[in-house]
Amino acid sequence: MNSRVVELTGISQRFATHWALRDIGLVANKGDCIAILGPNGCGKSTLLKILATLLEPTTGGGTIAGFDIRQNTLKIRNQVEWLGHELGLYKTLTAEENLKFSCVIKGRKPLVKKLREAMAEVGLNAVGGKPIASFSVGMRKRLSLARILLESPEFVLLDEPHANLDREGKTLMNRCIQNWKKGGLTLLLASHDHHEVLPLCDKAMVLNQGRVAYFGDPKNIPSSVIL
Amino acid sequence: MNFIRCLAAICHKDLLSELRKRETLNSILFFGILIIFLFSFAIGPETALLKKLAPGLLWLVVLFSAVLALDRSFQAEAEEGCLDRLILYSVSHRAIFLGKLFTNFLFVLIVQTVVLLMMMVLYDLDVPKEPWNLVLIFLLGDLGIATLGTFYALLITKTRARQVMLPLLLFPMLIPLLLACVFATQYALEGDPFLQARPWIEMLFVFDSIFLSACLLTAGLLLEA
Repeated sequence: MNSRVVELTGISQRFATHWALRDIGLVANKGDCIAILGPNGCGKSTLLKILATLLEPTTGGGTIAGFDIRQNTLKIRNQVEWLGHELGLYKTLTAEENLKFSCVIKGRKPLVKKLREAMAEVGLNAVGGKPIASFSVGMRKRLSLARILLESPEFVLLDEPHANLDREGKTLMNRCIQNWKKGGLTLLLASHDHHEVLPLCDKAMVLNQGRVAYFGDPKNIPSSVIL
Repeated sequence: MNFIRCLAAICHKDLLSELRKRETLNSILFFGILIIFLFSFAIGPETALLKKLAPGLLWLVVLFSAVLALDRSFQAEAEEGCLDRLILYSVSHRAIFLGKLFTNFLFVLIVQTVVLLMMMVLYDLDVPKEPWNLVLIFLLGDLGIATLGTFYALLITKTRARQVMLPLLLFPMLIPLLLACVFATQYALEGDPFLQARPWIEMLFVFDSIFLSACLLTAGLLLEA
């Protein structure tokens, strides 16, 4: 993979008559950890969905991992892991079955040892055989984290990574983010709470009403653009 | 190989979920059986009339029951963002569609078999002399219902009035299939000495081929929409 992982220019997204994003440009190199900050409804999740190729931007374009975001969505998806508000887990399946399903469908053999290791890492090994309908939102989020740990992505998108997690869960999330950074993965963290994500990131982008209000060093964010 | 594995994984996941919840199959079976009883009360005890109407009633019951199952087929995927997750897995869109279609086909086939057995008892239907003809009609008819039903269920996944929209879109499209199924079943139950069911079976085959191909070609667009 090239050192430039994300290169977006002029990205705008319109929903009916409302512009959720206006003329966004973003560059991320391999190993970068970028915080996307801003109040609710400023377009953070929309930007992450475009980066995950779940949304096609109304205007603008660019590349992710060298692939065009409009033409090569399948190739991009193979290298991206996404943790959004909706976790994409099946309530009727057990934690272990959910992980197994994601492995099988991605074409990998679901090795029980690896599944259990991933579940142990997120503190769910004792409840691996239980249907996740009985899990709290925080436990489900941990399970989604275990699913990412089983993959070997190049690019990880985390939308409100600390939401619904208890203190232990937040520590676990931070540890995972630090490990991914050490491993040279490119990370994008969207959050409205800059206290939680800024210490983890090398760069920050602040969005306001769908436009970039600041992009650069997280230490130099002007107080006027951050909540 | 990858395609088959994805298809099998989706079917396995859906069937396992159904085995745990027993929501869809139980409700459509009871619904189907209930309608047979209601029809027999509405028509009266005249066995000759019940026998005459049996093919039409059978397919109507199957169609009404199928709508309940079809409506739920993408519900679990849409609820927790599972459909987006499936798309992010870079799974073949056709594998997702066929996986869902196969599960729906299985549900419709089970309902059809149970409803037929119930009708044989309640409406005093004779065991057909050529049961393989009937099996072929059921397979083709149920495949057609499951194909178009899965397609429309996917189409309306993100709409609000989902439960109303599905029958409104699906039933008019299934009129040719319903006609072919009813006539073919009627001849098959009568023994079909003059092979009159054959053109209807051929029509079913053509219907299934056209709509299965069209749905497979467009399922990707719907999933990405």
